[in-house]
Amino acid sequence: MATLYKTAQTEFKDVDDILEEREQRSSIKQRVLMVASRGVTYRQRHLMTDLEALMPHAKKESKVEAKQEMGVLNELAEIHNCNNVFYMEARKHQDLYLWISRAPSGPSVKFLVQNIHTMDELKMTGNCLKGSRSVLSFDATFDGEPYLQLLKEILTQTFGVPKGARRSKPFFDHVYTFSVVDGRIWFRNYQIVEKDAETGGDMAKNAKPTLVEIGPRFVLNPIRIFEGSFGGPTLYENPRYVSPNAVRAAIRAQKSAKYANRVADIAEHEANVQANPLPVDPLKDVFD
Amino acid sequence: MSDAEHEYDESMMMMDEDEETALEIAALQQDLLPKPKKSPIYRKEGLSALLDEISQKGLEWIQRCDITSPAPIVVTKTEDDLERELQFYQQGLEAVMQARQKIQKAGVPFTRPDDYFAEMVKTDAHMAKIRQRLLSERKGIENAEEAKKQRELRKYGKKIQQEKLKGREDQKKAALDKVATIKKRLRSGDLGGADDFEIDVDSDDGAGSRPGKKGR
Repeated sequence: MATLYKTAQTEFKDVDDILEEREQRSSIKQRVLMVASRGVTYRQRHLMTDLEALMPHAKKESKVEAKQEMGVLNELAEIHNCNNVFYMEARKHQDLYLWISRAPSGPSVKFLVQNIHTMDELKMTGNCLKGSRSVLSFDATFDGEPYLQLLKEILTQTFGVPKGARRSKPFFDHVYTFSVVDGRIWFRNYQIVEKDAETGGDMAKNAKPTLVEIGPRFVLNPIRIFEGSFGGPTLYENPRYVSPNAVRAAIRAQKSAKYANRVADIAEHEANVQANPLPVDPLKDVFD
Repeated sequence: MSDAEHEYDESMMMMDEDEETALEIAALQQDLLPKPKKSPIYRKEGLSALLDEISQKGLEWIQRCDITSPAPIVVTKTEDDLERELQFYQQGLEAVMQARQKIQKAGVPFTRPDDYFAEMVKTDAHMAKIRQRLLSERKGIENAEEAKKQRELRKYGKKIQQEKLKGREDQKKAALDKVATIKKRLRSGDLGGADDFEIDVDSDDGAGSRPGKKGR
């Protein structure tokens, strides 16, 4: 408080004005709390590590118990002074659900994460600075629907590295692309290469850079958007979403249908044989 | 699982995904999946109100660095990997071009200078592995090309050799035939009033019509 008073005196500003300025500056700072539930597979764990490496404004927490801890996540976020939460919930040691939420009271989204490829895969040859800021590229489809506009805003505030974040590097090394295809959000991470392809030297000014994929890559299938953080009334429900359990059940039903059909066919054949006995052959005993 | 196993065989993973997708498509076609809901919840006003609340109005663009593409992405077949990835690439590239201008206008450095060394997201050891894989892939392709070329050459060489041998045999046979014909003519030559020079035994062969030869 002493500093406030001093600044007010020296700079002839009202105390209220200074508080407001401080508030504005702090509202720019986005901090993300990354938490996983127990039962994540190695691939999902590596995805989380990759995301943590790419986001210097993220703070990783230890695993939480799946069912109980969702209410506690808001408190955890407050303790660590984070205003966004990334919660990766693994179910049945197979499916990964991603919750992105604004901690105190803001909206939250639940996604199903599919097609996960981590940065370790050797086909992705790009590399970037750890913690460098990135360009966020969104598809024009995001501006078409209100729920997509909200998703775009949430993704920008979560994935975008704020300027001057503590562990961030100054240059723009890579670009995230978010595209909407087939009702899902596809995420890609590319390195911006500004060297000439053949010579390896610096490119001519205003020449087109090349993009090399760094990874990770995944697909987010939105399930629901809630008004509150990790709960609250539903604002949006994705009509095209089918839960992975339903898909597995359908596959099993198909397989069992095959067996059921075979059993039915055998029964039908037997009935047929009973109903139409072979006619008696008059020459049957000729050669006995 | 030890960390050494995070270089999974990618082909194995892709096979699982392909199997899964194929089964899912089959299930969809069989109409076994639960139908999409008739009236899903979609509160547009609530969403717009929330958007207004959380959007950072008054924040300079340089703090967010987001670019929206001018035209929506259009992918005709989701399963067509090449087309889809190409569209993503184009979208990213256009965004980078736009962002570069805006960032440089805001006075923030964009390109990383060559002498700036800092921790990278993938370790040097990992990048070395990637380079190794690329090299061995290229070498594999080259070896296959070499082997194919050698095989072609060998086939071609064999053909040439056979043709030569055949040519030689034919010549030999022709020469022997000529000698035989000359002998026959000799035995019956005086009776037939043959030409002394015997020019027309072999009209296109110069050897048979040498003036010194008088039928020996």
